[in-house]
Amino acid sequence: MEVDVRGLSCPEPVMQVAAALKESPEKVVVILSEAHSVANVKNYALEHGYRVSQEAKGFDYLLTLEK
Amino acid sequence: MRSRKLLLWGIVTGLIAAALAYFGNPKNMAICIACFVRDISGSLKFHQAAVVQYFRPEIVGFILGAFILALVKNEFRSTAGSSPMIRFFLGMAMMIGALVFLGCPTRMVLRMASGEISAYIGLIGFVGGVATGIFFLKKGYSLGRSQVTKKASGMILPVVFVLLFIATLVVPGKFAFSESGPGSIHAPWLISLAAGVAVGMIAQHTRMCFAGGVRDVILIRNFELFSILVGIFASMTVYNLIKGDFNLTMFGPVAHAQHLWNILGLYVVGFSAILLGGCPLRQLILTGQGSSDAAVTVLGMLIGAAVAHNFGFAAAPAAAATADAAAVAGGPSTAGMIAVVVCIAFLFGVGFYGTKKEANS
Repeated sequence: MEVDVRGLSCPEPVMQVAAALKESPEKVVVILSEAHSVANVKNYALEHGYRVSQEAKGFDYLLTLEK
Repeated sequence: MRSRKLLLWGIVTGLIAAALAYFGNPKNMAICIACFVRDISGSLKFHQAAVVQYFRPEIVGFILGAFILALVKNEFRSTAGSSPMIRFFLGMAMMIGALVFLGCPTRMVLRMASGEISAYIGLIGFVGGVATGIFFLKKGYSLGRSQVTKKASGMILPVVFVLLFIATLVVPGKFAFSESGPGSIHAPWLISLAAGVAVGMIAQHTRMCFAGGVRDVILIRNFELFSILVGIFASMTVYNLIKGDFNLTMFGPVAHAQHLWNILGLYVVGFSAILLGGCPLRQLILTGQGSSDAAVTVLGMLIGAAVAHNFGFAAAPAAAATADAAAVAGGPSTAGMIAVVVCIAFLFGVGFYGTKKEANS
């Protein structure tokens, strides 16, 4: 499942990712535009037992969250 | 683990605030975003309240610190377009609420650390405002997405603040500076600027947010951002105890004990901060990171401060009786009370409106 949280204000990115993880608990790919959202989403995923890998995608960030 | 690191950053920020108080800023106002934006608004002659006019270098520093660190870390993103005019008015409301309480959430924590019971009472309103904002977030509230814009758009306000600050040094006669009152009480400008840059960098690095700290505890049971606030509170409390400035009283200097209006003032601040996605400090930091939406919010705060003073919405500070003057209860005027009620109605309006789905959300 892929979630696009680019340009959203806090805490909408984390809330959308939390909802996506409920729907697809095995793997969620998140595309983000702001560094602070990256930190927030990453922390949330780590806290909930996910492995997180990060890559740059142009000016954006791509996070892959896996169980 | 991260919480412990953030607690340390909070302690450092509290120490910087203590240093500013030590070097001459008003004690329980050492770093108050609302007070300082209000002072800048006065210095630019947007309002004529003679006791609160000073171009606070800390504000310039907060934006500049975040701006520099964002550039260095390659995190500067020039963005705009998330309902800027709604944000402008939310910024105004946030400022009016803060000036009825007489302080933003930062000053609330500083006042709590100096033993002011009125600040603890105000905290009830702040948490209530945050909780009301969360109610709308859970219903799907959003002001829509921001988009990437021309780089210059995100750089304008940081550059303008720096240029205006330089202008206050080169042609001070063009600006207003308080000769008495809180606006006249300040640390030397270089110390203020350096402290501001340091706090701006810390805030950019840690995502420090007074509304976010409370919000994350309620919304996702996460104590990271909250631990920064605990750190600030702890170091300021220790500083006040050492200096003998900790007094358990109803109110300290430039504050009042009209409980209902302290609660409702901070209710407006907490509520609007959640609808905006960040507290007054956070808006300055986001401005430094290139958000034109946050920059417009900061302009709303500047105008909100002017409106609050020009129309008599800002609360009057209370004063104990002296040999030649009777005690003053302080608090907002009737106009100020009406303004708070109008702000609350506006915030509920924005909250409900923001839950409606539109194309850009």
